[in-house]
Amino acid sequence: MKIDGIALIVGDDVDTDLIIPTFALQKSRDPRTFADYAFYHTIPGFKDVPEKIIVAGHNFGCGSSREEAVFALLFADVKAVLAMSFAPIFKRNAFNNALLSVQIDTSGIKKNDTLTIDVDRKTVYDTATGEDHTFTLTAAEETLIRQGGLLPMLRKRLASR
Amino acid sequence: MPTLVETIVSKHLRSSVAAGDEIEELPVDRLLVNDVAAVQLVELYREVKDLNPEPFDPSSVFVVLDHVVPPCDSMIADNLYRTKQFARTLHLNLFKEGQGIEHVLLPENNLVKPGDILLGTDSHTCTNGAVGCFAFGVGITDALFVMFTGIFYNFIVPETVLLTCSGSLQKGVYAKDLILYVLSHLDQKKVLNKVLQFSGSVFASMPLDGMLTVCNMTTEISAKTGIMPYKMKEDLKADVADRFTFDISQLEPYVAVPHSPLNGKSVTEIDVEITKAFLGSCTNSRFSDLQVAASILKGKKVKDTVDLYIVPGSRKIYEQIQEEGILSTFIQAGAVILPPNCAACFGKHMGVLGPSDVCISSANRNFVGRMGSKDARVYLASPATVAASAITGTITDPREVLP
Repeated sequence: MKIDGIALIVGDDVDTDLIIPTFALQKSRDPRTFADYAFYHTIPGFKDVPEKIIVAGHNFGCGSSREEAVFALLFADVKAVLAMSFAPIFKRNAFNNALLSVQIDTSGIKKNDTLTIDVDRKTVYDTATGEDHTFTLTAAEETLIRQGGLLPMLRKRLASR
Repeated sequence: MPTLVETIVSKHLRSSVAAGDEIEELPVDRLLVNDVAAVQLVELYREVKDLNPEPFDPSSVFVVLDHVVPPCDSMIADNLYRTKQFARTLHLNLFKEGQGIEHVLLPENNLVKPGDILLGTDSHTCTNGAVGCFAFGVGITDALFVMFTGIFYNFIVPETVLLTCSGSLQKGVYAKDLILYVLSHLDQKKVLNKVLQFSGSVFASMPLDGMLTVCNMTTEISAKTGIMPYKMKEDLKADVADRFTFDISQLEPYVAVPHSPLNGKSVTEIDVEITKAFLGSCTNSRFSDLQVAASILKGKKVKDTVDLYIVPGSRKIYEQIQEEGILSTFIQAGAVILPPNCAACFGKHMGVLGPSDVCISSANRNFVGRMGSKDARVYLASPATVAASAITGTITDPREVLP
């Protein structure tokens, strides 16, 4: 399983209000519409940047538990998030929706670098620098990524009662 | 020796666990859902409805309508209608509009107990750690899973950091000042995803309201949660990841400046004019918070350049302030009294900020755009500092005006 994308750099402490501001929540019941408001205040035209991989500093996704932050990224064509560290609720929500979010040293990755994430080998290859970054996934995280999130697991569990 | 959270998790599993252990199925006692999260949760429920799932324990699932109530537009009104239908169909414990803020209601009505495991679709679920329960925020997919199985899937027992606060708080200095000080002096990287377990003499004499305020803000540093040894035995020799001690006997009123709750400074270093003052939220809207604000506002007037919004945390608190004459004090001072709800803290209604606004707030977040415009500036402080500043029109040390 491989994921390709272009690096889009953000800083430390990106909170979920920045990813999707409060005013956009409850505007629609269709989760796809949240993409229109992703990084509304700070990155104009975020949604229209194709095939992006967010490359962040420390504590990505801090603040609110709103899962709309993950929906906004997924439907705005974010392929994965790489960060120095993640806030715990965001990371959990990301895997529950099969959005790969892995911790690596992101300091050497530059804007628009072409990245290839190999989920089997647990590596991020940066084409621009030729550098290979390795990461780890728990068995459960890998299952969530491969099976499309937590909902299929809940369905399977409910069906087998 | 185990930490508080290890003890709680071990009891639930009937076997000893330690930080780092991977638990395939963590039994959950209670689940909390608010009106904002409910919108997408109800949508997600449609994806499993054909399997006729039943809640693990309907009376232990609390649905609280508190974030955007009364509704400010017809879409939200429709969302609330759907959420009420959902709660009634599944016989969940529904709290109507105006009953109060989720993290005020649960402890107030003894709906969480020491040793419980509580999950909630709100990052400030950690507030409830003040009553000695293991409480943390989750998203809607985890919440749906918990609702119909009673299980939190694949849980890793978190490490604990022991925070000891020694000394006692001086007059005019409160639990809010303490937590703003602690958050601005901790290294975020050392507490990420860890439980902040509080200890020390200051908490022995602190009323529960204050402990709720302290635990409420632990999520702001991306800790897993906060917990107090409330009616529980705490083993100070427990095997923890780190220990930090804070002497708070010389602590002054503290204020978090824009745009992070971790940007704490002594109030004496701040000289800022304000346009808005907000007294409410799950951090500071309890009776003792309103009582201290009233002691400052009594016989005074809110400055003509400032709007002061006061939002009692629950209907019970609303009744209490009426009985004690505090409500009259607020009205006579020229405050705008709003019904129990999250109000402008959530940035959606009832006092949303414009680009030129500068707000002193008793809430928990001052992120860019959190309370409205991305250009608004929000300073976080104790209810006393909010009340004192509302009178003078500048951020004011409450010790200057306290009777």
